[in-house]
Amino acid sequence: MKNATIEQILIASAPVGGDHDHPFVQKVMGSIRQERAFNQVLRESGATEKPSFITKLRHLPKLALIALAILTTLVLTGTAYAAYRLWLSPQARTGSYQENDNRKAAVIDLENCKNYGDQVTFELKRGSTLKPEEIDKVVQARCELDAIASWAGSTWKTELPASVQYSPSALTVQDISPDTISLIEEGRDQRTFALNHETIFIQSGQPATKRDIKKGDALLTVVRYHYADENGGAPTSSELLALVKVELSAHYYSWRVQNQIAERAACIGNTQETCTHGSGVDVFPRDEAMTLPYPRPTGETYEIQGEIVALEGKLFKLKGSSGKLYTVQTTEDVIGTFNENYAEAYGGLTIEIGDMLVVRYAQDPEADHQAVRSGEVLAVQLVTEITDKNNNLKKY
Amino acid sequence: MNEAEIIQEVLDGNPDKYTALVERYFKGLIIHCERIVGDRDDAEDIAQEAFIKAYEQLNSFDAKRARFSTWVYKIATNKAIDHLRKNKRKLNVEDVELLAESTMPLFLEEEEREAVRQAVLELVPPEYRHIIAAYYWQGKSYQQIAKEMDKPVNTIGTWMRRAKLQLKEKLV
Repeated sequence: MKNATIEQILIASAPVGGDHDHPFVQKVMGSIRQERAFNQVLRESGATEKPSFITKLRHLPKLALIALAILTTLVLTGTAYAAYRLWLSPQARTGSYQENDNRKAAVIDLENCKNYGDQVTFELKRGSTLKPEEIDKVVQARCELDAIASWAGSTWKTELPASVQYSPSALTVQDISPDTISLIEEGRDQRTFALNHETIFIQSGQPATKRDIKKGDALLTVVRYHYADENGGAPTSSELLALVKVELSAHYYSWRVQNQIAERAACIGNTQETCTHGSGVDVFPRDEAMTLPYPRPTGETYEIQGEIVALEGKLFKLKGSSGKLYTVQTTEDVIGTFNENYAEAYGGLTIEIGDMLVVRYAQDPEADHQAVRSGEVLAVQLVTEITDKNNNLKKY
Repeated sequence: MNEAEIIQEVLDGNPDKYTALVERYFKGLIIHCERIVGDRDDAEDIAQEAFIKAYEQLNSFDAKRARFSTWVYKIATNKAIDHLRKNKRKLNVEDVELLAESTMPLFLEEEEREAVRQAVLELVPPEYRHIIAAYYWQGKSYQQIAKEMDKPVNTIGTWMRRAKLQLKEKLV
C-alpha cells in the first residue's frame, strides 16, 4: 500500500454490493434501459436521416467522405441515434398576409410538413380569438401532430385486444415525480400516468430524458390500452409508451385552436378560384331521397366555392373568389329540400342568398366549367364556421 | 461472478447485470471526478455519462487486456477534462492527469482491505469514522453528510482532512 494514496486505499476498501437501490445506480440503469427502449423503437420505426446533411455529403470527394465517416463515428460513438430523427421537426413561417372575404389570412412557408406543400394559405375563421401572427404557429402544431401520429402509428401497431392511441392534442405537465406524471388538457380533467424504465421520452424527434421534462411543458402521449377481448368495450388497463415533448405551447395543439383556422387553396380543377378546406354540412347527397344522378357523372372532378347570388328552385348561382359567376343546375331542388327537411337538425340552419356553398362536379375538360348541368353535380356542401359541440353551427 | 462473466452476460442480452459493475465502482468514480472538476453534482453527471458510454461500447472492451474499472475511469477522466475545457476553466492537462492518478482504482487483497476497515474503526473521535464511511463507502456527498450530522460543510471538510491524516500514519 506504500505507493498508494489514502483515497485510493479507502475507495478500494469499500464493501462491494448491496447498493443496487442507491439513487445513482438507479439513475444510471434507468438511462440505460431508456436508451435500449429508444433504440428498439428506432429499429422498429425506421429513423429518418436529416436530408440536408446527406445532400451535402453527396458532393464531397470519396476520401473526404471516408475521413468524415471516421470522425463522425468517433464523435457519435455510443449515441449513434443522435444523428437520426424519428421525424423531422416541421417549421412554419409567415411569408405574407392576405385578406380574403374580409378574413385575415397568412401565406405560410413550410418545411418538413408532409401533408402540405412548401407553401400554404390559412385564414382565420369568423369569431377566431387568434391573431393573424399566430396562424403559422397553429399550422406548425398541426404539421407536428401529423408527423407524430404517423410515427406512432407505424411504430406501435394495434394488435387486438390491445390498441395504441396517441393523444390528438397536447397536454400540459402539472406534476412529475420519479414514478408518475400528471397531465392536463384544456377544459378536461387531470390525468396521471405511471412512468417506468421503458417509458420513452422524445423531443424534436430525438431521444430525451425525464430530466428534459418540467412542469408547464406541452406533451403528446402514446398509450397502449388493453381490453378484455377483441370486442373492445372499456379498457381493462393501459400503459404509457412514450411522452413526446412538443415545440410550442399546448394551446396551439388544442382542438379548439386548431378549429379556428381553415386552409384556403386553389379549387380542384378551377385553379383560378380558391376554396377553404374546413368544416361543412352535406346538402346533397343527403340520403336515399336525394341520390346521385344515374348514370353517375363521369369526367374530371371540379370544385367551386362561392357565395350564393341567385337561388331559384333547381338552379343557383355562385360567385367565386375571382368574382366569376358559376351557374349550377341540379336534378332536384336540393336547397329547398335541405331547408325543409334538415335545417331543424342543425338548429334552424337554413340556406339563403349570401351563404357560402361548395359544389363538386364532374365534367369533360373541354366543357364550360362555369356552367354546371344537373347530371354533373357530385356534391353540394354548406360551408360552416368554427364548430363546437356546445354551440350551434354557424354559416361561413 | 467475476467481471468478465458479468460483461459477457450483459453482451448476451441481459443489461440488468450491468448493475453489478455500476454498484462496484460508482462511489470511487464519483470521487475521482469530483477531484478533477471540483463539484459534486457535475462529478455525478460525468460519472453517469461514463458508465453509460462504457455500457454502449462494452462489445469493444477486451476483459483480457484491461480491467473494467481502469477503462471506465479513463472514460470518466476524459469526460471530466472535456467538461473543464467546455467551462473555459484554466487547464493544465498534466496537473489534471496527476490529480486523476491519485484516485485511480487500486486493488487490495482481502486482508489488506480488512486492515483498512480496522484502521477506520479505530479513528477518534467517532465522528471521523462516520464521515469516512459515509463518503468513501456509502457514496454520500459532503453536503449530505453535513445535513445528516447537522454540521457546516466546512466542518466536515476539516474532520475529513484530520481523519485522513490519522489513517495515513497507520496505513501508508
